[in-house]
Amino acid sequence: MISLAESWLPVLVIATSLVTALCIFPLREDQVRLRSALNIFGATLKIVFVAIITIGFLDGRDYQSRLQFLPGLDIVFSVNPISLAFLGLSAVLWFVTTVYAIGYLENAEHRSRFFGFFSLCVTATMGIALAGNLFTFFIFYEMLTLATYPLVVHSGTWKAITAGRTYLLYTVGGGALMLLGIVWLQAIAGPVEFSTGGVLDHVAHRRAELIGIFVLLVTGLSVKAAIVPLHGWLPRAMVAPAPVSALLHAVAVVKAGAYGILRFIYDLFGIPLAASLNVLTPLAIMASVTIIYGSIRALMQTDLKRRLAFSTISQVSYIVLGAAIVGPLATTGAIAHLMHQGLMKITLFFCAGNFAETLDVHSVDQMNGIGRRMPITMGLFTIAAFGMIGAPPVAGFASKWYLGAGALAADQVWVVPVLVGSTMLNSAYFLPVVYAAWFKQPAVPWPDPDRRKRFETSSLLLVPCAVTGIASLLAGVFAGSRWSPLGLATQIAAELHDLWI
Amino acid sequence: MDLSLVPWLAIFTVPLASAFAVMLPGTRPIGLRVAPFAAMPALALAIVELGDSVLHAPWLLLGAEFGLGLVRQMFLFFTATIWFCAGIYSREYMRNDPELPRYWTYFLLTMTGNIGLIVSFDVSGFFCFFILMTFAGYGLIVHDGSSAARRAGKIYIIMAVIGEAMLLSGFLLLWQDASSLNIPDLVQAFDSSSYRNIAFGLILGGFGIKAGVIPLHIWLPLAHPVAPTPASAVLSGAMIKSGLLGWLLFLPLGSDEFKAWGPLFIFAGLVAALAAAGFGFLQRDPKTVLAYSSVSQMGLMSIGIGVALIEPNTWPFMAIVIVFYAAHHGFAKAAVFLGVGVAGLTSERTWQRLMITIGLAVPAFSLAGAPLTSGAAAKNALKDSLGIAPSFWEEFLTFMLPVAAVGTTLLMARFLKLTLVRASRTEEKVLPARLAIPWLVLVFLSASSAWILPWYFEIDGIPSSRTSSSYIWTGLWPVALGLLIYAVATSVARRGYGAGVRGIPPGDILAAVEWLIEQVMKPIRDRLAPGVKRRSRQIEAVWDAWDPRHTPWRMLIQSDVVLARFGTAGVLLLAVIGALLILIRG
Repeated sequence: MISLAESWLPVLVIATSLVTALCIFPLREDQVRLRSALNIFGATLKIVFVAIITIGFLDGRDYQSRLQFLPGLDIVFSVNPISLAFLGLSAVLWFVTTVYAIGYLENAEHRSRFFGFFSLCVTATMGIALAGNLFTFFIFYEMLTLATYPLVVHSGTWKAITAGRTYLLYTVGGGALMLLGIVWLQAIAGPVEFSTGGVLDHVAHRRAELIGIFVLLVTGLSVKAAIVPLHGWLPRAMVAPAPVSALLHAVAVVKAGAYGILRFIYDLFGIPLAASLNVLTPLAIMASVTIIYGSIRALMQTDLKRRLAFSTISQVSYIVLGAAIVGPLATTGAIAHLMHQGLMKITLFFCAGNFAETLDVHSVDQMNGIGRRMPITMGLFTIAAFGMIGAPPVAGFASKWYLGAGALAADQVWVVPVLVGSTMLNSAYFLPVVYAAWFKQPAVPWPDPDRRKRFETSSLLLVPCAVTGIASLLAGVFAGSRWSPLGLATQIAAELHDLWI
Repeated sequence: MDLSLVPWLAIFTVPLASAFAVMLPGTRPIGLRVAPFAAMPALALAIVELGDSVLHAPWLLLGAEFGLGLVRQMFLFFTATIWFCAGIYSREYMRNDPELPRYWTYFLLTMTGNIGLIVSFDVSGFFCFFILMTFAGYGLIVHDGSSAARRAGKIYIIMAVIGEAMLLSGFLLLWQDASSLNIPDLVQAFDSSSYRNIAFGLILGGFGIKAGVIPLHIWLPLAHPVAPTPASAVLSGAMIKSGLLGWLLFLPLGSDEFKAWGPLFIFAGLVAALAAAGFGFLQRDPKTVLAYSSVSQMGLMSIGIGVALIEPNTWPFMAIVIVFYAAHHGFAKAAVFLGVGVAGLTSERTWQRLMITIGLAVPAFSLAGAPLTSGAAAKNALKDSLGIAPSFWEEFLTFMLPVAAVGTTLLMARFLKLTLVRASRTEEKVLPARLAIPWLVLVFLSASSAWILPWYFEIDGIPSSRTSSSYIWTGLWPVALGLLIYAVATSVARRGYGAGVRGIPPGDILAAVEWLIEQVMKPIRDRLAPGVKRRSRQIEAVWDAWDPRHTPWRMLIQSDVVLARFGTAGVLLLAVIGALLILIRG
């Protein structure tokens, strides 16, 4: 029997950001304090709810909310191990990004619109995280598309509008493919809800159709997960303000795609069925191509945010790769990287935002000697960059290690050169930046720091960055602990594969 | 937390914390005061006997384990000593450096890595510290910012990244068949792994880059000399040995299934010992000569590993001999490097000049293996351990080792000449005691390690006290021959012969490697790349010109563009969602 609290908590988690959005839209531009207070309050409340759910779930409680949408078509929110990982990540990073955004947009225009859609975007992400069936997943997936669009075009420049258009074209198209897959699946399997281990065994004999459905669903998700060749929108969407890019790349859009692939493989098809359909190896190959392609393209970029965008394309595919390899180690790697990549990439984008906001530095070429003027930001950037390369003790090493080990355990030796190649490419595009920042002399001396500010830049920009940067370091240093992202991922993977490693 | 972990954590958290203290302006004065002494906890741990216990910290990294054992303890002893002396030396030597905080930051981080990897008993810890040492070491190499330093740094980092990639793949391949991340367990996996030889090759190469094995040594003669003098001392004295330690810990030495790899080690080691002596002799910078000498000496140590692979029954003893050799070389090499800095500040006082000359000559002759030095003891120990398993290799190496000693003598003669000549040109008046003392400590250790180490660590079989005439003779003739060749070679060169070979730059075959890469890259850069760039620009141009308004998406796109213009549109969207929710509830 599910108690009242247990049936309402998932809805409450979603409602915190929805209500925040509703309250923020009507606010006047100059009601800064009220808006900020609302934002922080909503974000804090969400963290509290997510914490309650996490603790309860680990205690063995079940959380499920069911709302009838149409007869036979329910909106279901439920908590399962993978959703917990994504939920926790989103809740924490939303809070951090909200603080950052308040600092970043201090004197910008249309802040009510921005923060309103920002909260809506998180609502959608939460909905995706908690979706208990395909229908719910789809609703929120589409809502995410629509809620993110105004954020991408926020600046209103021609470039932003074009980028937004591209973004919509891709994602709406992807959504349409997914809808097709969902309807098809509904037709052959009836209404199905996500459940650990897969729920399609009763139609397992209709192989051809299932393969078709898998391809449709995963292609739809691949758009948001930015898998080559469906990645075109992502680098263009870089015109968005830094906090949006940070959230887009670390939690919301790209992660939603990757998370969807994880859910569909583990909780819809189930590993044995997905493996028997022979769809996973092609997916692993697509992911590997994306990993290498993204890294090579990142190498060619001189704009810092664009370089980071291509790096995201590459890094998110690690998650997909881990999902596409059968075995508990690879699953651990995928789920851990879901969280690790979020922490590291959001740090990198925060840092890029700090450089742009404080010193108007946008290009890698302008970063000579920036470590002297902004040592804290650059220090955090360095930590996150080494994490992306996969150097211990930063978090990225742990996930890379498990992915590699998982691939070998599944006899997919070819994955190791992919991972190692990506490591070397990552070094090739991150290390020169780190070198220039710390060792080169700036072409012109940096402007003097603002006397009114205590640190090298506004503390609203610096603190969120420090929190995520240090978290990505601690996640790696204490990876062996039960409560680290890796520790949680290990437990989740063990449950999914029903065995302890 | 287990309290017994505290000393283990202290030995790398002290340098780590000092590094952070130096980094932050607020704590910098304290940090700078503590920094020179940061190696003390490690030194204390190496001196205090702690037994063979292994401590687990499962929450740390992927499950860290710490422990020592004889091999690691000896390693920690000489490594920590060199770091400690270099730290004290730096305090005076770097005093007026404009980038002092940066120097100390990288110095301390590198120290953290170098010390931490020695006490790590698991792969994740070892790899983590190894990488920290490698990347932080870069900061030491490029410290002075000259173009030579930048070039050295670039080649160093490229080779380092290749090395890390090799190690990562090697470890991963082994871990498949290992029961845990514990290093001995990982090495056990060599027995069953189907990728055993690939893993062997990867680990050999990955650590080989650090150890400067030919032809992976190309970064070393560039990088070691350009660093500030105390940093050169730790690079060549201590850090280079971490590659050797990697081999000792991660290779299945003592197993008789990898005999085929033995000759490769011996061959590579011999080539290194001889070729590096030749290349080094032609250098003009005393520190470059010393870097080549390191390559040459590491070659001798890899010969030991090769022998152990071919004759596994020499193994447990050979490990001790190799570490003993490494310790001797570490002390002597650090002493000569620090001596270069001391000689640069020659005093007017005769007794100080005499002291400098002797202080440079003692470790130099020890490296050459002159009789009654620690170097002779180390070389004899290596030779004796070959005798455990008499074979073709024993005879071969009994012949080759003295040849290598002739090479080292040449190098050392060249080094002394260059240093002392350069010294006489400087104008400093006094030799500061803060510079002299850490250097003299290392000089003393380089002279006496053959007696101190076997006594303190209770090793039997190191022939330190053998002074019989045959031992003196085997030590003496290569040195004498080397000096003779040196005299002949310099007099020939003075007459203007052999000018062609003297143009060999540091890094020797690096020039050839770069030429090869250039030949491969040039057509790509000149022909292929512009085409690809043009084509991709064309595609992007077509894409940007394409207007979705002329497509069936028009309605959708326009409606959303319109939506974006109005902030209130969000309210509308929310109203719809709100209505939906109410419907659902009903």
